[in-house]
Amino acid sequence: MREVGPLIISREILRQLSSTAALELKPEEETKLLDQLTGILEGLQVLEAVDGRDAPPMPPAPAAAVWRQGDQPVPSLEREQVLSQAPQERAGYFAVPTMVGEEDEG
Amino acid sequence: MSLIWEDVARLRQRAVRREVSAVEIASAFLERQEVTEGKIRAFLYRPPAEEILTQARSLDERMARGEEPGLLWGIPVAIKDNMAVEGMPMTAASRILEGYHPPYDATVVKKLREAGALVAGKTNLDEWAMGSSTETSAFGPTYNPWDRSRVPGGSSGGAAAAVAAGEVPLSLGSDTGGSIRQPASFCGVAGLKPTYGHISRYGVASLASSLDHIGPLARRVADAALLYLVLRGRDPLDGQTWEAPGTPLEMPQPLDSLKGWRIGLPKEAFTHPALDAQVKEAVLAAVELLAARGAQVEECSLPTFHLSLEAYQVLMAMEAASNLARFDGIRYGRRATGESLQELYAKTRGQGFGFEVKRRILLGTYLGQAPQYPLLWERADKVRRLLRAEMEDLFRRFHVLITPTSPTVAFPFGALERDGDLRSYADIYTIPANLTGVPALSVPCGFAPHLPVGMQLLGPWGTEESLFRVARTYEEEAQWPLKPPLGEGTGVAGRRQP
Repeated sequence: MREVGPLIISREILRQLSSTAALELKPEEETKLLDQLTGILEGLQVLEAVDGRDAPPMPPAPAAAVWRQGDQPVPSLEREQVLSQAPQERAGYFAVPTMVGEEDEG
Repeated sequence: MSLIWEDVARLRQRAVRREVSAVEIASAFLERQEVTEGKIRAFLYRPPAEEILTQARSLDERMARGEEPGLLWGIPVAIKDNMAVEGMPMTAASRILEGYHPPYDATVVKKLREAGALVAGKTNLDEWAMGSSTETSAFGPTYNPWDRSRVPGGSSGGAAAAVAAGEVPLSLGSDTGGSIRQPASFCGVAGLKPTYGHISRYGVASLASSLDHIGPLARRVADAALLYLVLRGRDPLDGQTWEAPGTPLEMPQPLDSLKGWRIGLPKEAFTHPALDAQVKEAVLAAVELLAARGAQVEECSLPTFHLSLEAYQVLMAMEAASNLARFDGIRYGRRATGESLQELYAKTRGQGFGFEVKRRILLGTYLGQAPQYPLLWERADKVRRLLRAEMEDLFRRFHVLITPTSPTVAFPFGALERDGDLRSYADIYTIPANLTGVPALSVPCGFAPHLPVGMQLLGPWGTEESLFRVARTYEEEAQWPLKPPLGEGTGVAGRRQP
């Protein structure tokens, strides 16, 4: 089995991750996260220890756990119930900033 | 005996015989909450007393009309606040869900209502169930009823503290890496993580779907068993649920003798350097008591035990990053303003999630896109398969395995932040059951010195009944006094309301 090799994190990588995860970070959070994630990633190297060991496949689920349910339509929540929780709603829909085309929030 | 310290089956029986009404039961627990809740802060939300009393009155009227009472008739049950209860707020102890009122009940809540239980409110937790102390809750911590300078454990810290303090006889928790069992251990109550798939997770905030479980907490093992019986079963709304045909519905009884029962003690658990000497002593004393009742006890080995934590970190973080991607401020909860959709997402999530949650999401995102991802996942999955195979092997020789539930007793506030080892090892004994799906039950087994210690019993898939029987046998024999000394001291600081 190939080695995992070092798992490296930098401030630049952290910023890419925060963009991928759509998660704004404060500068002080970045510093603390870099420190903690570096430690965790180093710790994961111990998983190399399973190299060369044979592991059986996960046993199949018990027979009772393998079941099929009927493909029956069931009522969903009412639109009003769902929209009552919307942070912003317009004309019966969830309102979001414009994604394509216009400048203003649509 | 005051109603609040009675066992649940007896309380229900008294209600059914009309020796006591549901209103009287509800009132007793509401009064208790008035005395203790200011000191421990177990709840994030309690409905107005009148609302609970109205539910109770309705039960009394239904019984007067001849309705057959359910298994939890008139019994107040607290719900961890990562489960949906129609008509109550749901926060998962996170700012990102502020203002959210689910328009439906989780399946477990629906089953409670059908059994005649009273939904007593929503209990505190570590934010998104990520933590071992309830300190990461965005709404302030819960305090351990046995010593308010200590944490109640986590993430189901509010659920465990509420039961320990006598505020409710039963509560529901969730357990992804030990979040029912560790707080149960810290607060001196019983807590079960059932077999994977035995209890529906529909309506519960997902953390890591291959590891998430729902289960009961109670002062007594029999009460936990009763709640488990009510909750278990297949649910079309959670495709992972199943129930073995012919599983008995009766209450698991204690055994006269443990002759013929073989108990294994994994040596890796009892020799781990993080294990506190007094905790070890208490658990081994409990094992001796089981041996004195006839059980055959032997040391055994779980060689992959020492890799569980790292495998768990990989699997949990990757699943959590994926599951928590859905909280974006669009359909419910908090929304920040942003010029673009991407900015709205990033600000909403950045302001709504706390540090611990961000750390796990970013770790999962890193692992999911690292060039080494397939190798890492493969290794973590291999650890899981090895552990499962090793356990199956042991369960050919033993009916039950026993370990401590936690390497320590409840620690002081702030200790996790200061002590890296404590942080790393808090869940070492509980994680293997989540990775392998086997049932695991924590039962109080003494004090060290004034704080409760928990013993963990593990069995093969689907053997909850055996675990309950052995634990009840122990409990009956040990007779630990389990009323925390919550005197009339001053209350703790107030909590910001969700």
